[in-house]
Amino acid sequence: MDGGQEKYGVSRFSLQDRLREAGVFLSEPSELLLVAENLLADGEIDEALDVVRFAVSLAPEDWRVLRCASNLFARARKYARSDEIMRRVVKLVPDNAECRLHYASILLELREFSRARRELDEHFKLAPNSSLGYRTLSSIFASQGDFSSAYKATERALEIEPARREFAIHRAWLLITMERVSEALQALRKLETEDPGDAGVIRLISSAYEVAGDFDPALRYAEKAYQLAPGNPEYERHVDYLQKHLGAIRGAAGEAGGQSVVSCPSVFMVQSGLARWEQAFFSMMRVISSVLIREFRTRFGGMKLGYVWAIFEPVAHLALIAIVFYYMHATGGAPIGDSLLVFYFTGVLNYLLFNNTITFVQSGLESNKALLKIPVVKPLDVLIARAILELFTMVIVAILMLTSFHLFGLKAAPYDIVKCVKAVIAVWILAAGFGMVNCVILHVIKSWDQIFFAFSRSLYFISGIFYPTLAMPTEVRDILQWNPLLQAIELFRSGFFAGYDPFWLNTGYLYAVAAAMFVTGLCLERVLRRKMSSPTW
Amino acid sequence: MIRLDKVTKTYRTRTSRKVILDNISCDFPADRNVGILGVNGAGKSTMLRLLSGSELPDKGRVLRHCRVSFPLAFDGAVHPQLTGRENVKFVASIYGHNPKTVIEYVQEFAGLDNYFDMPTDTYSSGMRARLSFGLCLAINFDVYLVDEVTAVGDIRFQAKCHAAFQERTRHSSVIMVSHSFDTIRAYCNTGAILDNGNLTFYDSVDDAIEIYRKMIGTSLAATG
Repeated sequence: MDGGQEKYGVSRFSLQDRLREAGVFLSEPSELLLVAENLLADGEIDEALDVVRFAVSLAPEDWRVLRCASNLFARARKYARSDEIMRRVVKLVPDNAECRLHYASILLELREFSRARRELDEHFKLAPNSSLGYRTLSSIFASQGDFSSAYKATERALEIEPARREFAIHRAWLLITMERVSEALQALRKLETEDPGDAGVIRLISSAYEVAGDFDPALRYAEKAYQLAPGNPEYERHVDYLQKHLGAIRGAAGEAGGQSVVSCPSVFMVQSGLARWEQAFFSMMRVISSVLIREFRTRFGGMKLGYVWAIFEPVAHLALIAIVFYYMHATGGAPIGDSLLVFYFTGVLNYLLFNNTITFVQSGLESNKALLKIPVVKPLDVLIARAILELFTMVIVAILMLTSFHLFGLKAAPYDIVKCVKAVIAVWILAAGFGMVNCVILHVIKSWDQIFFAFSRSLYFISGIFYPTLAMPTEVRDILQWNPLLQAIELFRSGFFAGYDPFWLNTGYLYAVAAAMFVTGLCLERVLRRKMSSPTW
Repeated sequence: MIRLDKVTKTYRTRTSRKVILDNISCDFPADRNVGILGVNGAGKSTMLRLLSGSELPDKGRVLRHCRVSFPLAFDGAVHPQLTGRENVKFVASIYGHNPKTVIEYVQEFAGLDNYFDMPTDTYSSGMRARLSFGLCLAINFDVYLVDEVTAVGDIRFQAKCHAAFQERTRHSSVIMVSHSFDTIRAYCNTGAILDNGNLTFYDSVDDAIEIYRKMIGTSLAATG
């Protein structure tokens, strides 16, 4: 510290001598400031600032000298000194718009945002249409992280002075910061064609690509910028960073055997048009499949053989019916087909698919609260995963049952498998729709599942499972044919048994109801999503 | 960067509605680590859930132009019936990471040994926290949301966490909720105070802490 003081004194002393030698008129501050400016340009910062201080001491009340001195201090990054000087200047000439603006930019450098805003307000009072004023305002907003306001201010500045290149560059930078990459790139390309040698613009193009997650062109432009401005350490660092980053991505990709580990970022990036939807779709598929596996593992309380139970339950249900009918000797006289058992199977299978899917889907959110804390997992993903798992379960059950029928010597091969599949899909879509609707209602009415249970149980008896639709009195059938589950079971049977083609079957109606229910479920989920996300619900 | 666009969030308590954010628009810049201060019940944890996207605002939008983590809290998003390994595999695959790499990282980081292959409901709370901490760090997020989990585990584990976070914050940022001023000072370079539905940002953490101290002081004086 002492050494510094000593040096300071020495340099000042010798400075005056040197100035005198150089023939500078020492009592003329404006001349001194010119000298200081030259010194600053030569990189002689300390000496330059000494000269400035000397000039200021000669004319402490001359605002022009002070304003100029402030500028020189600011160029040497001594903003605190500038602040001191400008405080005096605005007292001396409170109505000078330019000084207010300069002071605001100094305060901005010092990150004194509220004071900078005050100076700028004064500036706008004196010069309401100042483009530089709006440009400075934009910088203040940007420094505080309020990029949308900063963008608006820049737009205003460009309105006043459209040809100013720096404004356009600043606007492009804001666009990148706000990750509106395609607009930024458009603007930057235009700036590039106007002046291909502008390293700053090239550097910004690199940033735009980097933000978009497109690292190859980012690196290309970064290198180009560095070639245009070889000494710039920031450009060099940027090139270095991008090279390392690209290396890391490629290295990781190689390690994972071609399956890119770092491939996910782009999913979250703002992208245009189709690519964005495509990414969102793949992200959703990934989540659904992961949730599916997780649900599979924890289907029944995390037991080792939990999923076996999921299959065993419907099989047992059907087996029980088989045993009961065997002992009741009611095997003869099936309304359709050869075996009463197979006939019941065609009904019960669809009923169970319907009922189990609804039950499993409607409780999806309630039993996955922890899972839903992961933001990429959306409620809909969980519901869809559960519906798929239930369909999968019932397909396995169906295959098991048909195989065992075959082993017991019953004729049980579907006649038209496409029709059967159509029926199963219709039941499933219908049930998924009901499940989603119930899931939403359950959030509002806690006992809804009990009420719905009574309803779904009654379907067991009015869907033509045991009591064939064929045998119903016309008046009853006329009413019950509006039951979509009955329609689905009839469609399934018309596909399963050769020659069964009931005239009350209306597939158009069935598909319409299933689709309507599904869409209602999606819509309800969408409308009440905000409320359902809250844990207090 | 995360942007709040005219966000309002209220909470229903037994007697009334509590306002957590009242028509707030602001940006969480990508290059800042923000420490959020607020009295108990101000809604700091809800704030983090809003930022993560696991909870939605009543009005307004939360725009996330980057990968934001789930709030890193004690319970995390761990399924009690699945083993540590299965949980890690699950989270890795939903984020599109290679499960093998992530499992290796978490196994090393959390140091659970044999427990890694046990259902997580057999874990102690410390072990669960270690698992979710490691899991969150294993995924490459741009913003890590941290909810008061600096006192997890023993000193050695804390040091490990600290080092891992320092490493992460070179490329990612942190938004943190904590009662510990020291923690906020250690990780953040911007302070914010959540109070009565308003979120105020301060350029320096020390300013925020100073103002927050005064605020609690006055509120204590007012109540007692």
